[in-house]
Amino acid sequence: MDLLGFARGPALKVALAIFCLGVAWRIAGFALLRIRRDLNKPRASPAKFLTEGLIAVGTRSWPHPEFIGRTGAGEALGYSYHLGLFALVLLFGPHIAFLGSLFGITWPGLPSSLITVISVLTLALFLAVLFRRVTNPVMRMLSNFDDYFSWFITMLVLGTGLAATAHIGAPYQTLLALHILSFDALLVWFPFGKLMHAFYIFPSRAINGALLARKGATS
Amino acid sequence: MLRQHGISRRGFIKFCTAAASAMALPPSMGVAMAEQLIHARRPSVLYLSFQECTGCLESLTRSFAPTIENLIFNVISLDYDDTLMAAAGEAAESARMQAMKDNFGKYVLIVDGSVPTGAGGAYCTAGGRSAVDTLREAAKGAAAIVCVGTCSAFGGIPFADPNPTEAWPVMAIVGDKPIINVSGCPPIPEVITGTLLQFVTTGKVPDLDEHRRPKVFFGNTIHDRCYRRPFYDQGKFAKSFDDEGARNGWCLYELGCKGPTTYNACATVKWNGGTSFPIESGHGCIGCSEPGFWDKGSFYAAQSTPLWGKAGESSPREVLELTAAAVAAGAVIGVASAGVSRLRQRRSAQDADQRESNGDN
Amino acid sequence: MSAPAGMLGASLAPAEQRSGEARVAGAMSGFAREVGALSAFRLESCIHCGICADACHFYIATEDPQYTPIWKVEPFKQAYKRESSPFAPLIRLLGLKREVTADQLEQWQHLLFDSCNMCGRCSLICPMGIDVAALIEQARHAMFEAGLAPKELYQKAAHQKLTGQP
Repeated sequence: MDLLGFARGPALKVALAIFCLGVAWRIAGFALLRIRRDLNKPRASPAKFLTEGLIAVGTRSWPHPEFIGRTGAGEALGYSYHLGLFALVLLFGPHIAFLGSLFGITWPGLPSSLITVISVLTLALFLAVLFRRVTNPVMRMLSNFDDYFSWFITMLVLGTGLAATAHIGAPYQTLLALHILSFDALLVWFPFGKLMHAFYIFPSRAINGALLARKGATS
Repeated sequence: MLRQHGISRRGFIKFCTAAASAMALPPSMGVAMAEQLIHARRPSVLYLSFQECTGCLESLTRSFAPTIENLIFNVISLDYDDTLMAAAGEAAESARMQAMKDNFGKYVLIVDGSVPTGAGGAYCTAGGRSAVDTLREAAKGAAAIVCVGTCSAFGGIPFADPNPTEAWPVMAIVGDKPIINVSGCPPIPEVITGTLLQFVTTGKVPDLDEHRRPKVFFGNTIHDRCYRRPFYDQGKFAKSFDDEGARNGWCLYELGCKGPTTYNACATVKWNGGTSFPIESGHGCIGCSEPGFWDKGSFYAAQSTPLWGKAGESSPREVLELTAAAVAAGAVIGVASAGVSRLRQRRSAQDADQRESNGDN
Repeated sequence: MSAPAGMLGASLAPAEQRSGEARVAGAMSGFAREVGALSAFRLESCIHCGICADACHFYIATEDPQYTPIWKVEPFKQAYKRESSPFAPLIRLLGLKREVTADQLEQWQHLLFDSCNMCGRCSLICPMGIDVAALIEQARHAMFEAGLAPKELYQKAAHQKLTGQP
């Protein structure tokens, strides 16, 4: 079996299995810990919890006006590379074909040249956020192996993908194989690091909003 | 024969004399040269066919330049080909044995079809002898072996999963002779004849890639020379056969074209004397000059898609089954780990209560 | 918030009267009592973006990174990962997180008690929706169990237990 066949075949299968198993394990593992009852009287109705929770999911996407001065730039940097990644993962033809064959649905994509532009911009932003993480005193103090490795493995997928579409550095099938293999590696790492925030973000914001509503602090 | 080509005897002798003096030989050598050339033997070529469909030979006969007639009448001496030769049976085999003896060490051996080794080689026999034995014997006196077609070069269709006849490519059976793989299913006619001519006239093996294919024909991918490349770059992909994109000649990547990973001359040399090639006709490249192309998934699934499951490709149902099983397993482990954590928490709390009731030290 | 079970019976002796291991054990068991699914979720969700620092007055005034709100609960995040998280057995086996030490807890006294007024701005700014202030509250409970809370609080608590008055 050649490298590309391995990457697309057994490696992907195992990676996908580890991903699903790990994510389920991690979520079940903490969600089933004790739920401590709050004996305080709720200050709002359960319906309000729901609506406030959902509102929080949206409002946390951008800092409250008084925080923007200090934190706007950094947060914008973070969001922008996320947007870039979503665009190129979900709107590039070969990716749509990949996901389509996994899930049985397809959708229209963007022209490949536009995707290339987005990819290069995303790559630049990726380098910028690493620079920020290393130079900003708060982030430097907070950062651990998980932060750097998660960055590295995502960067690997991005870099090999760009090399593959540009056909530079090695024959196409090697580049494509490395790209798919690095995606397999990302799937395997996913449940064990901070990439899990993809699953946490909406529930976490919603719970925060709901509990604030319970305390009587509504937006 | 020369007269048929419009060369008189006088003209021929004059040529030989001129050639001799050009090589600073005495004029009498000119006569000797003429004698030699008239009786000069054309290079001996033996064509052995094993587990094949005869498609490669069919392709060869359709070569535009040199044509098959020009080749076998003027350039080479095709001393054995069980499909083309007039003789059959014992006569054919003894002609082959004679040619091998007379030209030992000098003949070019062309092979098409894969070589089965299962059941002691019984899956392919001619004249009571197995293909593997015939090959080994014929290889001994060959100057070089030209494997025509993906079957002899890489095993081809018999080699594909599950390979019931235990077929192997020629290079897995013969190790001590120069081997040139002219792969393709079938190869382009001019690629076959071009490679053959190159070896016969120069006596040298051309530059080969890591799969032993002549770089001059197999050095670029179809994708590198495809006329539809601008559409690939622009992201204009045909989504189904005969849809608007397909009718506008858009890139066939999403219809499974293996052009980006297939090395061959189809996009430049093309077929039928440069008439067309599969992509130009609206069908994606199937990668027929690459090793193992039969086992690389559907011809109609894009190259970026997963490659597992029964037909070498995944279906949404299989993916669902796998992920559901993994999620279930993970959930079970997660429940267990939560249980263990809660137990430890409770024990830790009990220990603390114990310490308090005992009084801290 | 409900009082953690056992708090009323917890030793009201401040740190000097207890050994290092007892303090760590006290903090860890106190924290274990505190950590439920919600706190665990919050600790899991932190992506080390450092944005909470930009909301904390202590950080804004000093530009000293140690006042980053989520950093104030770092020993408890460490303990959670090591003791109660879904992969805790693996983490302990491979030594990926160390045990919290008594010295570490003493260093964190200043961060938890002197450098936070529970204004809750960090909880409002966190893009992941983590209630950082709630985590600090739980960490303070655990520190109290460990005898590492400010002396005045123990005196107050003892007085309350004795007289029934605040």
